[in-house]
Amino acid sequence: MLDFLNNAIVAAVIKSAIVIFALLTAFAYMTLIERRVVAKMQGRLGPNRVGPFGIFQPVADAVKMAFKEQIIPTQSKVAIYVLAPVISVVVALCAFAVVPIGNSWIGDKPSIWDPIIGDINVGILWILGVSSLAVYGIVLGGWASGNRYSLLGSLRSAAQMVSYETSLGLALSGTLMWAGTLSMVGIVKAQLLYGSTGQGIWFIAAQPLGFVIYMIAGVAEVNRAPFDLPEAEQELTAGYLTEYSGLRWSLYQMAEYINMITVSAIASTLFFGGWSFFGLERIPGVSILIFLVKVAFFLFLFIWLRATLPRIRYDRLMRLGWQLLLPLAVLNVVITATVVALGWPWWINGLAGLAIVAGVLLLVRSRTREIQSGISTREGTIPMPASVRLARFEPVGDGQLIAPKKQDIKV
Amino acid sequence: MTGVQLSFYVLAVASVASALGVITFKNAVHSALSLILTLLFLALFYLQLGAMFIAIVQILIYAGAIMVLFLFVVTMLASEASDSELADRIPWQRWVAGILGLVLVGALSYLLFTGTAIDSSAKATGANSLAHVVATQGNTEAFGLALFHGFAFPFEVTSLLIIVAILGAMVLGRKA
Repeated sequence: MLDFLNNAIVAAVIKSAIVIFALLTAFAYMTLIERRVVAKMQGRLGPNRVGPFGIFQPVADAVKMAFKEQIIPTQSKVAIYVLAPVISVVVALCAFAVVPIGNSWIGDKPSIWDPIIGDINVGILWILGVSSLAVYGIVLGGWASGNRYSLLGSLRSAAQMVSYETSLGLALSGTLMWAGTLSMVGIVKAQLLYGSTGQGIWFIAAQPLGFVIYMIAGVAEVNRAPFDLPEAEQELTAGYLTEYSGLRWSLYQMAEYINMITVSAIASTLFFGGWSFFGLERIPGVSILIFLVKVAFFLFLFIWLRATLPRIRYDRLMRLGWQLLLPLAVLNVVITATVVALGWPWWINGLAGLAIVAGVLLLVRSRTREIQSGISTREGTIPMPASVRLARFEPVGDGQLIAPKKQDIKV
Repeated sequence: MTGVQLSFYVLAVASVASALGVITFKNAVHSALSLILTLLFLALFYLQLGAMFIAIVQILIYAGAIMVLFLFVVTMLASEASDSELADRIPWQRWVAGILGLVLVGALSYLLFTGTAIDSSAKATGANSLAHVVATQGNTEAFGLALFHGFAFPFEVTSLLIIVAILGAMVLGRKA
């Protein structure tokens, strides 16, 4: 009677339904967790009135959103305006199709009910390709809103995502060289302690530089703080989200959180061994738990970053992406290719990567010190009071500085 | 009619229709969207032929990167015409570029004049044929082998051609 369950297509459809349900639930509770964690970090309580610890807050929010009026501005291009949030969500969900969530159920024998929807041999490229389409939801939504703020937000988003996608892809290619495969399952298996392809290390050990670049570019890709320029409230009145309300607004939020989960899942899979944990993953079912813990850690990192860092300025964003991350990513590829091609052990690659990360941090630190000590004008260096030392004054026009007069500064 | 044929006809009609949309839509953004659809249909064609790598790269490069830039420009049509006569800010780059170019020419000539054996493997039959490589090593590996061994010279020449085209577009754009 249950013979139809042996059909690969039936299995894929049921697994997809489970993954979509899990992702949507995770989105709902991520909003609550984020608000609670950020509140904790800022010495507030956060939403705690609906149910114990506020655990029914997402339900209340969902009901509110469902009954809210969905305004369609008269200036908007209606068809595209309605379609854009849907594109965002569909694309975000599709990317999760190739993420291996856990080990095979019985031993190392693959079956159609393994916790992964589709193990295709270009898995990581599928994720990159599909998530590169995510920008359309934002660009089209902003353009179709018929609002200048929305348009500016969407243009920022397009420029930002194209700029950081290059660094993101290059940062991953170092790991792919070590793994020697593009399949997500193959990449996890390459990090196992056993098996024919297992190398016994998590690739973070060989690719610290790649990991740092990937995380920075990943945060920029999902438009999260400190790279949330496309939806900056103070500058753009929420950017591409300005005209959206009700369910369509929550679709955009959904896409953002699901993209966060995807970025976290890729980071865990490519750099932290996916569902493996030093042999513990051989116990049936435990591998899924291990994977979830790893993803949860990276999601916490996203929240932590948002609570800690101020938004980066637009020109700084572009400079960071093109002049720092991209050259470093290329350097990482060159080093990794050399090490892999010459058959050197992984720790040479790891040490080189760590040295570069440390060097760049030192360079940034020394430059910040230089800036903090004071402003140099034609009349000499004016020392800055401690409260404004993070401010930086830059030359405007022909080297003239916009800076406070000497007598205005009390040291 | 088999399933493959049916899907081919559906895809063919859809891609031609969306391609027609590119040139018939009055609104530039609609044309661009139509072009994205066409490119996605082409990716499905590749998928139908079993060329998974090319299909995904088609989405990644054309739909994901190039068309985003198209849309960027189209949505911002009223772009400010800023013609800044920038001086050459990195004067030593010509020397470095010249030397690196010579290295590239040398490497390519070496490949071209000594690598005929590799080139023939791309056209060979039996154990060395492309179909065999795809079957034993997979799509991506076969593509990489063909691209960087048999077709390394045309590949590099094409990239050079594209760079020249970009430079030409820049020169034309600056005069306008």
